[in-house]
Amino acid sequence: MNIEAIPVKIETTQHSSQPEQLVFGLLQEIHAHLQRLQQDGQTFRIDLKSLPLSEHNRSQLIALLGQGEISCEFNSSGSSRIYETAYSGIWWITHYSPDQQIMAEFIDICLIPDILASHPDDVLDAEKRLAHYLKNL
Amino acid sequence: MTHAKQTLAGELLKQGVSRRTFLKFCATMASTMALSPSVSHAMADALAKAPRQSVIWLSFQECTGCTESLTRSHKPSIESLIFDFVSLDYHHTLQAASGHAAEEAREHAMQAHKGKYLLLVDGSIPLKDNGVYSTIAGMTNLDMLQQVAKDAFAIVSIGTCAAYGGLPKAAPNPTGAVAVSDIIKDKPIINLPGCPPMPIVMTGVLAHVLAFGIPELDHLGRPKAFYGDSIHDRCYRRPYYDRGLFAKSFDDEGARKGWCLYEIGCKGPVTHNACATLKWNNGTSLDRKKSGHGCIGCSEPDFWDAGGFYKALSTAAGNPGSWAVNGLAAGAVVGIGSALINKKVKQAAIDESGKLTAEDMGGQS
Amino acid sequence: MNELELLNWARGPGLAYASIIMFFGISLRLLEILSLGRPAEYADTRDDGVKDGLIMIVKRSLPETRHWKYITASYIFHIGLFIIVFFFTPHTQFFRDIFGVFWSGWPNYLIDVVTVLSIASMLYMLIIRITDPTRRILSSTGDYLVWILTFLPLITGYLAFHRLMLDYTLMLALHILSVELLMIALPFSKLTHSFTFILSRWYTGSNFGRRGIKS
Repeated sequence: MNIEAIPVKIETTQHSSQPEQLVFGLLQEIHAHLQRLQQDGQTFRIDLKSLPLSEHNRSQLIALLGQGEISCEFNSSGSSRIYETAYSGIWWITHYSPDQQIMAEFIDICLIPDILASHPDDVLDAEKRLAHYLKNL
Repeated sequence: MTHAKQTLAGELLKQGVSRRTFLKFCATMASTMALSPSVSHAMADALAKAPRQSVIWLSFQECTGCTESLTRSHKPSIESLIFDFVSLDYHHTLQAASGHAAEEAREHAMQAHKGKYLLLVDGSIPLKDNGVYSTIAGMTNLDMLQQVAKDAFAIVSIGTCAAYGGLPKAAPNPTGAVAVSDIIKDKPIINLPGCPPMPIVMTGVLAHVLAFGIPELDHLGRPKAFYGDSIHDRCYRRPYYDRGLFAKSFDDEGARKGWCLYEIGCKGPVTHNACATLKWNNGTSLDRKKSGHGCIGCSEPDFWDAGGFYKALSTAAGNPGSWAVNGLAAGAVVGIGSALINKKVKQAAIDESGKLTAEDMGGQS
Repeated sequence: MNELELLNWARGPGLAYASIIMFFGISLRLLEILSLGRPAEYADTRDDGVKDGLIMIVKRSLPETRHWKYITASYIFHIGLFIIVFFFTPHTQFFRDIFGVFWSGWPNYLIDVVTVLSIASMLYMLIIRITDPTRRILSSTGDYLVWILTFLPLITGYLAFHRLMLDYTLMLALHILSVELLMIALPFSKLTHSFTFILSRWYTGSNFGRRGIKS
C-alpha cells in the first residue's frame, strides 16, 4: 500500500490562543444549530456581515472551523467560494464582487447549501437545450 | 412553459442568468439591506414570479452622475444585474431610441402599464419662469413629471438633486430648482440621496420594491436600511475622535496617521448614508475617509450651503468677523448717543438744583 | 424645515444676528457705564488709586471662607465653563475660524469630566438658591432665567456629544441656538458681569485708595 492510498481527514488546526468572546459565542450558536440539523434536519444561515466581527475575529473563526473535504468555486457576476469546514454540516460561503471585495458572507448549517444544488427551473431549461442538441445531431 | 417565460425568472434564464446567480443576487441584497438571511429565499421567490417590472427613468436638471454610478462602477457586477430584472422603458443615456421614437416609447410604456410602472427620477425640477430652464422634447420638466407621475405606482428620487434639490438648489438657486417631493404629493416617494448615491443602495432598494414593496422610510423619506446610521457612527477613525486626535490640515503628520478629519471639515456626524459600511471605488474609499478627505455630507439636504466643505462643523457658516465689527460699531454709536443723553439729563438736574445757602437752611444771614 | 436646515440657520444667520446683538449690547453698556465717569473731586486724593484698583481685582477674585460651599461650586462652574468653551476641540475650531488664532484642544474625556462637574455645580447652586430662605427671597425672575440660559448650552452640548435623547443634528442645532440665546441675553441681564466685573472691582479698589481706606 503506498502513502497516497491512506485516507486522510483534515482536523481543526489547533489554535494557540483561546477564541475571543465574540468568536466563542458564535461557535456556541453554530453548535446549537448543528444539533438541530442533526436532530430534525432544520437548516440555518448566519449572515456574517450583520455581526461586528473584526478582521482578527474573522480569521480566528476561519482557522477554528478549519477546512473540510469539499471546496467549490462559483463564477457568475463575480466569483463565490463555498467550502465545507472541518465540521460536516457547517459550510462557509463568500460572495465576491468582480473586484474581489466581499459582498456577502454566510455560514450555512445544512446538509448542502441551496446555492450548490441545481434549481428545477435551470434543469428544465437544460433538458430542453440537451433535447434540442440531440435532435440536431 | 410560456407562463414561466413571461416572468422575471424566465426572462433571466433566456439571457443566461441562472437561478443560481439569481439566488446569489438575492442573498447579497438581503445581506446588504440587513434583512434576515431567511428573507433572501422569500425575495428570490417573489422576484422570480414577478412580471418584468416596467421602469421609466426621467432625467431632469442632473449631471448624469447617478446613472454613471449605477452603470460604470464595475464590469458586469451584481448591482448592474438589476437592469436585467426590469424593463427600462425610458432612459436618456441608456436607451437606443432618440427623438420622437424615444418619447413614443415612453408614452407606450405608460399606457401599457398604467398604474403599475415605477418612476425613477434624477435631477431637480426648475420652477422659475414657468420651468423653462429645463425642457425635454419641448415639454418642461414640471409638466413631464406631473404627467408621468400620475399613473406610476411609486416614485424613487435618485440622487440628492431629485430628493432634496441638490446642486441646482444651492444658493442663489437661479433656476428655482425644487425636489420631486415638493411637486408630487399624492404618490409614495422613496428618496435615495447621495451625490451620487451608492450603486448597491439603488440596486438594493429597487430589488426590495420589486420583491416586497416599499421599504421602511425615515422622516426624510430615505430607506432606513441604508440611511439609518450616520457616517460618524460607523467611521473607522472614531477611536481618534474619541481620544481627541485630529488632523490639522491635509497630508500633515496627523492626517498620515489616519487621525480624525473633524477639523478639516468632515460632516460625518450630521450625514446619514451607507458609505461608512459599504464601500466606494473598489474599497479604496471608505466613503472618503480612506482617501483622506472628510465627508462632504452629500446625502443630506442643502449640503452645498452647509458652510463649506473644509470648515469644521462647529464653525460659523458665513463671515463672523464682519458681524462682530458691525455690532460693536452700532453699539458704540448708540452708546455714545445714550451717554450724551445721560449727561444732558444729569446736567439738567444739576442746573435745576440751585446752590444751598445758609438762609435756605434756616440760619441767620 | 428639517434638522439640517435648522443647524445651517443656527450656524449662519442665527449666529450673525446673535453676534450683532451681543456686541451691540456690550458696546452700549460699556459706553453707558464709562460715560458716567466719576463724580467731581473737590479735595486732593490720598493716592491715584491705580495700585489699589489692581489689588482689588485680584483680592475679590479669590475665595473667602464664608459660604465656602457655594463659592467652591461657583469656582468649579466658572473655571469649568472656561475650560469647556476654550479647550473643547470643536470650539477651538470655531475660534480659529473667527480669530485666526489657534490653540490645541484638550482630550475629549477630560472635557467630559469637566462638563459633568460644571453641570453638577450649577445644579447644586440652584438647589441652594431655592432652599436657602435668604437667597430665595433675594432671587428674582432674572436670576432663574439667567441660570436656565447658562445651563441649556451645557446640557445640550453634553447630550449632543454623547448622542443622547435626540438625533445628533437636531441636538447640535439646539445647542448652537441655546448659545445664541445666551449671547443675546448677555448684555441685558446680570451676565454683564462677564465684562464689567473687572471694571467694578477696579473702581471699588481705586476709590478706597483715593479715600484713604486700606484696600
